[in-house]
Amino acid sequence: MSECERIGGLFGELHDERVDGETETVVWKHLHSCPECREDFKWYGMTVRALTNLERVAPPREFIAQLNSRLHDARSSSFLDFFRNIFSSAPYALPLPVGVSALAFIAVAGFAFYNYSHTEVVPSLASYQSLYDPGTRPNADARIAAKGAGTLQPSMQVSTLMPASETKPSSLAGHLPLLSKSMPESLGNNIETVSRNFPTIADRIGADNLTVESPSIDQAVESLKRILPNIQGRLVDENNCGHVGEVVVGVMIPSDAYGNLTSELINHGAVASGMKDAEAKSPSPAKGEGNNVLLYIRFVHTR
Amino acid sequence: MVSLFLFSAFKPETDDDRDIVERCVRGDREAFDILVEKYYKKIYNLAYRFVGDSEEASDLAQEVFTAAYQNLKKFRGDAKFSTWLFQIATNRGKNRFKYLKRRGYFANRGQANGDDERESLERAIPDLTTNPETILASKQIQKIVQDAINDLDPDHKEIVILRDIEGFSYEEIAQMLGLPEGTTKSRLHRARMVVKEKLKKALS
Repeated sequence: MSECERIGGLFGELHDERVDGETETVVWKHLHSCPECREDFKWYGMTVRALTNLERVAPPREFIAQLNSRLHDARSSSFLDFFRNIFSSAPYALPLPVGVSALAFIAVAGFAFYNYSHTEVVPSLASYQSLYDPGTRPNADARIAAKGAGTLQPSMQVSTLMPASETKPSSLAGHLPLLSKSMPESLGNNIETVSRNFPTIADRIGADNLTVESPSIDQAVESLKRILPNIQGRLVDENNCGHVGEVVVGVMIPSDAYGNLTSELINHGAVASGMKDAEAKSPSPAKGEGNNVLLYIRFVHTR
Repeated sequence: MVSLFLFSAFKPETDDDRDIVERCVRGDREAFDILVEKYYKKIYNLAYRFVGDSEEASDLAQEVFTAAYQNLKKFRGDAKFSTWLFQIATNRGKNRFKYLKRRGYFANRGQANGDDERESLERAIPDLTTNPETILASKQIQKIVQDAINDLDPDHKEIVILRDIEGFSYEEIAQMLGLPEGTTKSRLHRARMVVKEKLKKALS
């Protein structure tokens, strides 16, 4: 490396006054004796001045407005970023296992909620729609043919109210805590057997009541009323719950007669079903009262 | 007295923007507007020096502020906010410059300027015997210098812009770019030499 190259390499430090005294003396001595380096150093200084004196360029007038518009968009998307970065950004940073557990919990809770709404709301509406819409009457195969009409015993029919494809086997006794507690095991098994044939209402609507389908509701109710004294039961409630063509009858019967009555009803075409949501204002499902059991039976028209 | 001196010598550099930044992080949207108001001219100027065009510079500067806003929670306060903001601007500026260069943006612009402009530049170059400061302030010289900056490779360009145009210290530049101070100085020297040759050629 020549002396001129070495001195040229020190221009920056010399210009910024970052060289020590001894080096500075050597450099200046060389510059005095070398016109080329002196000229070069002059241009170097001029270049630095040209760079530092470059005019400040003013932003356009609409710059702030445009920037605010962009920031507004960024602020809107930051809500999404919260979820996008929930596991990585402070102050929401979570260890991965906690984050995954939280997600799993949310998924399970969501699934449970979905299931709840599916069984409690949608089917209830569906069943009501099918009740009042003859065109959508489902699963005729599941019906038990009635012998005669107008009386309780021979004329009752089962209304599954749901398409067979949506049914699934389950234990009716499992849906009937009161029955399963108060009934003999054999009767519980009996109901379970029946429920396997007609599981839909029990599965979909729920538990504790019976739906009886009859071409003549009045005669069916009267038949029931005639049975009641024989089993030491009594009528406690009778109303139509605001639905035309439907009567709900509440009966209080001894718990040991419960099995007999429900078996009787089931044997003649009734099926356990619940009365939820839509019937919320109607009497609640079966309840116990001492040794007696309160049972609600819904009578609907055969369609 | 000595301890006071030592304290002031080793005290970390205070960040004037710390409180405002903390307000931003807590969700105070107006606080960020204060930071924008404070820095937008400098950031725009830096962006302009990177891309040499007002429209591109405007877009780039807006991108810098948007990125800063979105990443403010990641700002740990190790450096001053302004250093962090200029670091973003430098990275984005460098990337934008590379992108535009790949697409032939600067070559097309040079061609579009044409010979007429070059001739008018040559005619307008002032006499070197006049006051050098007057010469350097002329539009023509400014253009020659900006063109010379445009021709620098990105690694040299960013240092010239940060040091000679924006006036950051070597220490701050080294922090922003993650380079040793020695590398910063040697790159700056080489960049200045390149600009010097272009200036000398244009004015001689």
